[in-house]
Amino acid sequence: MTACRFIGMKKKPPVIATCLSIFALGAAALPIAHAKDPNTDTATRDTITFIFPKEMFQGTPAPVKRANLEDAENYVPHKSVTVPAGTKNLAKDKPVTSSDDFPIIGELAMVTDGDKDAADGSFVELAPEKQWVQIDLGKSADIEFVMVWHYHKNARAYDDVVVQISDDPEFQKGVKTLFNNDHDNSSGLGKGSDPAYIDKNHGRLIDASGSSGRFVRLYSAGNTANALNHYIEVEVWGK
Amino acid sequence: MLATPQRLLFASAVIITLTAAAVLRLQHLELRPMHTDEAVQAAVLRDIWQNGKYIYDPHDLHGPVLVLSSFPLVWLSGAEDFESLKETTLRSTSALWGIVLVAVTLLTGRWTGWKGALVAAGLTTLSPMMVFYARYFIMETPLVVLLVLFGLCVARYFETRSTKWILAGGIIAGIMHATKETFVISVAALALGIVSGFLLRKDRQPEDGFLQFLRPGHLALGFAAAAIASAVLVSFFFTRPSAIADSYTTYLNYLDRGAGESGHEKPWSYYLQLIGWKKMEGGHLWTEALTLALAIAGAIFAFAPGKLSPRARFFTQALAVYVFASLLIYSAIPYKTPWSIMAPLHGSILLTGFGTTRLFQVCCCLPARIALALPLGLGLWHLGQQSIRTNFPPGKGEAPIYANEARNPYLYSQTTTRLLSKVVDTVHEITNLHPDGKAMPVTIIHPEFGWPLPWYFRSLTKVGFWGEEASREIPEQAMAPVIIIDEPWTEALSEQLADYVPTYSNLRQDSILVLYIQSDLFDQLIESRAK
Repeated sequence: MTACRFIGMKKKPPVIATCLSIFALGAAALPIAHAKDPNTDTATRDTITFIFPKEMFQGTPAPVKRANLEDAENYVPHKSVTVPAGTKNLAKDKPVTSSDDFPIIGELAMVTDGDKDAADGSFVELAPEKQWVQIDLGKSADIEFVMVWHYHKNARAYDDVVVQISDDPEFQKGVKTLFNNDHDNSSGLGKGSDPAYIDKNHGRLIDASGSSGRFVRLYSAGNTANALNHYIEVEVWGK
Repeated sequence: MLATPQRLLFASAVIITLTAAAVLRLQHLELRPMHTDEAVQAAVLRDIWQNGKYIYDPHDLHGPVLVLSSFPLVWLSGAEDFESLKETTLRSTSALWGIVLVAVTLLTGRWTGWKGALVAAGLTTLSPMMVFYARYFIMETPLVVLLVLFGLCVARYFETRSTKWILAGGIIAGIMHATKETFVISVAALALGIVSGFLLRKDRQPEDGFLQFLRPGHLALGFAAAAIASAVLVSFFFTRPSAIADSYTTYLNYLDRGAGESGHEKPWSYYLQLIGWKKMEGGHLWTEALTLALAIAGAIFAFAPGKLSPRARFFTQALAVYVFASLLIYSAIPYKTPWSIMAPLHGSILLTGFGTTRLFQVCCCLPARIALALPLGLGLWHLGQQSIRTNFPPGKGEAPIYANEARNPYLYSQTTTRLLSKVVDTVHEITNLHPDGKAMPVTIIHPEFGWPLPWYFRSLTKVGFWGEEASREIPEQAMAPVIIIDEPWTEALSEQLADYVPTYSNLRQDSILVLYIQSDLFDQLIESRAK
């Protein structure tokens, strides 16, 4: 579809008229670019550049197939993001609770310890099927985005990933869902339309701009390799 | 024989051992999802139970002994029909065979010494591999029981030269043939052991010829008994006589399968690693190296000069050669499945019993015996721990191992627990929403008909199974509200399935199924789950 058809024009305008139009639009936009916009002003915005752990896919890759699975080859990870100044990882070393109080491997504290490596000793393994981890940020915060690394030692997609925030530690009221790829509502948290994805070393950025809450809860229900649940690291960026 | 106080002690130890065997084998049998092979045997049982017919399949499935032996428990369970039959009933049959295996192990005491037999029974009780496969509805455990009984009959025959033992041995060989045709590997290794035992006999006179040792007339009697017993069973009491010839021509199929590309090819060291030292994902270590080490000690004692009765010498030497030969044959065959090694493993457990008692005899002073008893006790405890971990629900902070192929080395082509949660439970959930209920049509399109799904859908009355003929285009009559398809075939069928919502799940670790639900039914499902 051409741009002309897209905006509803039936006939193609002459080339010169098009160029003039573009110039006029650009001139009109010029003052806007110079206006004091808190979303673009470098004085009020910070750029966060991510440092990813090294890629560690090992072993014979198991086939990864899921409904609405994102094309891993075409996914471009965020290398940096621009956020309001003062935004930081609020989850670092914050207390973590879980539906599984006795993890199979590792400790819940590993979820927020800053170690994003996939090696043994860097991840926590939770019981099979639907489980959650919950991070207490200490106080309600404006959250920009959540970064999550489930497991990236070999290719796998986690099922029914749901990320929610709330001020209620029980997640009974004031719950906002940031991400949900449970396509058949098997977790009972509502049908989600976000894509299933293969976990990699660059993690997954989940947008939360405009949201606030004290608690961040992340659900999953096993993965394509087995029924277990894993977390290497969760970061909650906000202020 | 043992003195009276020792007899009491021995009897107590036997009761404890058999109780432990029952505890390890009969609990939590419902946990692991049905393996394809178990579900296939269950289908054989259904045919016999509902239709009164059994058809021997020379290409697969083996003989009817396991299924026939399960009927007493099926009737005792109170199950009125196949639909109400439970996994636990089927698996209890194998578990009982496993307890019988511990009991028959004790009978070897006549040759290896009663204390040695008790040690062997204890090891059989605790061995993770022996426990694990005694909880599968497959024919391996019955086969090992029959093999031990056959060996004992043969041993008694060579002592007494009585035809009753050769007849008994022949009948048992026939039952083995009707249990699983691969019994010939174990019997060939055993024959090699017997011949070696004969050749190594020091009391052998120059005029004792091999033919005299074998007595062809008796041998023929044994073969005849085996042939008749086998014929009765594979022909299902002569209701299908052609099965008798099929049960012999089947070896051509097995030869092809053993040497050809079946997908089960593994390196020669597979079994040794499986028994000796297997490190799995999550740092889990599985080992029966204690058994192997003590079996080697037993073999050395069998051949080393020393005070040993000719009877014990003959038996232990034949046993050692049998274990070595069978391990060698099984390792040389490219086609390998983990349960196939149970017979050689049990043979090495018998040798272990003998080796352990001889070691205690060699260590005459108390400190040396304590030094020997401590690692042995620790080893037995570790074996028991492994058996509990592989089969029982996990404790707090432990992963369930019973269905996790990456952590449990005894699992092989195991049905995943995800199949139950993602496919089986969902289909049953949908039948509650569909107006036809249990009569809701379900179609399965899969090269192997999606086993073990026939077992899990046994309560549904309209399940259609389609193979390759439906892999390019689903026939009109196969279109159903719920269609389950082998994942590689889905691409060609995508247009026909445009109005369906897919859900993916692993059937086994290397095999994916796609559950397609008609979109309006899927919406109903979502709605019902939201309530």
